[in-house]
Amino acid sequence: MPLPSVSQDQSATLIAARPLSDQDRSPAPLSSSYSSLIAAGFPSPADDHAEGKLDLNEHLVNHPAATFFARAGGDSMIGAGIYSGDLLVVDRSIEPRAGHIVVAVINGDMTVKRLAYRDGVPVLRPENPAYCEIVLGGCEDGEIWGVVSASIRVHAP
Amino acid sequence: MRPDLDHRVFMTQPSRRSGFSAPDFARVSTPDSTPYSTPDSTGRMSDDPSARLRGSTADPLFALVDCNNFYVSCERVFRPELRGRAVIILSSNDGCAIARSNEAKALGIDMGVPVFKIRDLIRRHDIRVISGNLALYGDMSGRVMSVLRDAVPRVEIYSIDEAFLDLSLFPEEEAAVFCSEIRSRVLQWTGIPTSIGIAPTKTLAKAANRYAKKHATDTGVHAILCHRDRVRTLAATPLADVWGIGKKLSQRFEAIGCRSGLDLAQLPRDRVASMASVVTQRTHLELNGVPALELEDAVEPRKQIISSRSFASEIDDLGILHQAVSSFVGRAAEKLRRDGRLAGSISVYIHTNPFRGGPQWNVADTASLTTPSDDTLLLCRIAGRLLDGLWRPGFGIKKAGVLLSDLVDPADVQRDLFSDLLATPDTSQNTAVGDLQMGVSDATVSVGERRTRLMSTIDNLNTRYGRGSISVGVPPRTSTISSRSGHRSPSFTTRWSDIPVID
Repeated sequence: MPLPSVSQDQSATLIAARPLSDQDRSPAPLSSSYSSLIAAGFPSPADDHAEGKLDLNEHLVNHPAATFFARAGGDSMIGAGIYSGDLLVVDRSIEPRAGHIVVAVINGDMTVKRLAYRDGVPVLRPENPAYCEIVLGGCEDGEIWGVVSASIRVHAP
Repeated sequence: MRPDLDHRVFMTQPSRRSGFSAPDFARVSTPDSTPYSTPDSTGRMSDDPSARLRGSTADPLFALVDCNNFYVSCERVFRPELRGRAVIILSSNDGCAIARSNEAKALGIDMGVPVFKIRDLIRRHDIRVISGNLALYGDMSGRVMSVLRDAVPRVEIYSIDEAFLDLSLFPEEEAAVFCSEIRSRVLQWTGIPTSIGIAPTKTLAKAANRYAKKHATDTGVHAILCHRDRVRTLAATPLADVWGIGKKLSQRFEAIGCRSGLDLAQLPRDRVASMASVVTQRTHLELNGVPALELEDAVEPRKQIISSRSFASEIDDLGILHQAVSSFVGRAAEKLRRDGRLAGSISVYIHTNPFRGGPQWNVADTASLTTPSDDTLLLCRIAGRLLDGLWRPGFGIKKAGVLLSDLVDPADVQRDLFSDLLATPDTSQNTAVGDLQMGVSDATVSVGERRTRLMSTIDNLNTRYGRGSISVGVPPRTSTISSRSGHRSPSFTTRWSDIPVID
């Protein structure tokens, strides 16, 4: 086997494995330092005062190792302002308390409900009169999976 | 989680220890000069069964945290309906069982068994069969390790589902309580159940962990702190299950009547030295409570990068194989660039299916680069030439792979005089990529610099739009090449389109 030469290869070409949509093409990724986009001319007077950008993760995710995202389905929590398709931020590090909106596992299925206690017994309350509440520790086999720390609705996708 | 965990960590770990001194292995081979007081020169332990193994809190104390049936547990976090059921996870081409739930183990399903051999069992017991989703497991592993790193200052990540913790300076009587708090925090934060073994040596911590899994399922924590603990634990540890003793080695010792970890520990040291290597002598010391292995928390740079795959069906077409190999090179080179390294050699290998009868064709070839490189296009071309040399028509190729080795730091590279000369810009070669190159055709930069920018553009695009959005050569994702994974779970934690939907 002859050693391959290391001259720059001209023959290989790059292709996109799937067609790039218009959305993919624009906008160009913003680098963290805008000044690097400026090729010539005067340096920006703001360069010395750069402070980085606001990061939504800082605002919404307090414990990254314990935080999971899910999507709401159904309308059982519309009273709490959670609609189908909303993004749920679930923080498992939060100790569930009465009043928390929680993700619970009931008989192997996951569900979002408001946690309450009635005579010391945990119950899951929907925020929609069309649904019934679920008594945990009763005939239902259930547990709290995590606490919903935020829900996010996109209004203009 | 009880709020006192952080407090406890803060109180009991006031300063980061510099680590205990490296063991002097020269002493290991000269049994008479042993400086250790606890075992006598034959390796046997002192008579007092409650005597502490550690002389002082300055001596090492390790915890081994091991995730229980890790891959299965990851699936169960997001698919609670799998709890309490027999579940097996298959390797990437759905070939073999690479993880089993306890229920599946109880049905006698062995690790690594090809799935075609247990079809009946699967049907009869309604075993859930899932294709491994390594993106999910990798993410969950990172979460577990992050919780561990928050709890103690020094962590050695030993594998995707195991980590050694340094509990030195920790009062022994608190270690077990602390570890059960770590365990419940990992479970609450990530949903992953773990077992923890605590001991003054890593080998004993491993044995303690195994013991915890089998015999302390309620607490999940087992500690070896005194000689009585050690003897009880090692007596219950089959020799082949001792860390560092494989099947082969255990057979050699079984021939002289050693069946358990305790039997090996009680062998005179010179007997062990006459039968096995210095590595096993270290194991022997460790089984006797004498630390011979340190926590290795410094990240060793990768020595080599492999990208390979088994194909869903056998490939007997050089063109398709070229596509596959190109995509392997692309992935390996991306990892290479992420590590900030250059490859000095590249190897390509192709295999036929060993489970199929008839003639086999298992070959590999390696090329050295005159100048180490991380350039996907260059590496692809070399890999392509290697593949041409390996290819013989008439063999159905089941598996192919690419190995990048002799990895070096760019700072250590003797630059090839001809590799980075300023070149006349040739815009024609950029047209295929068009505006994706984002300024790569700048007339003032060298070919090398342009390539560097091109590679980082490719990496950025693949990060933004998903792996394989941009690749070299021809589209690799045909049904023949992408590996077969019929029952793969969604990537619950790494893809927006896959996050769970909850009513």
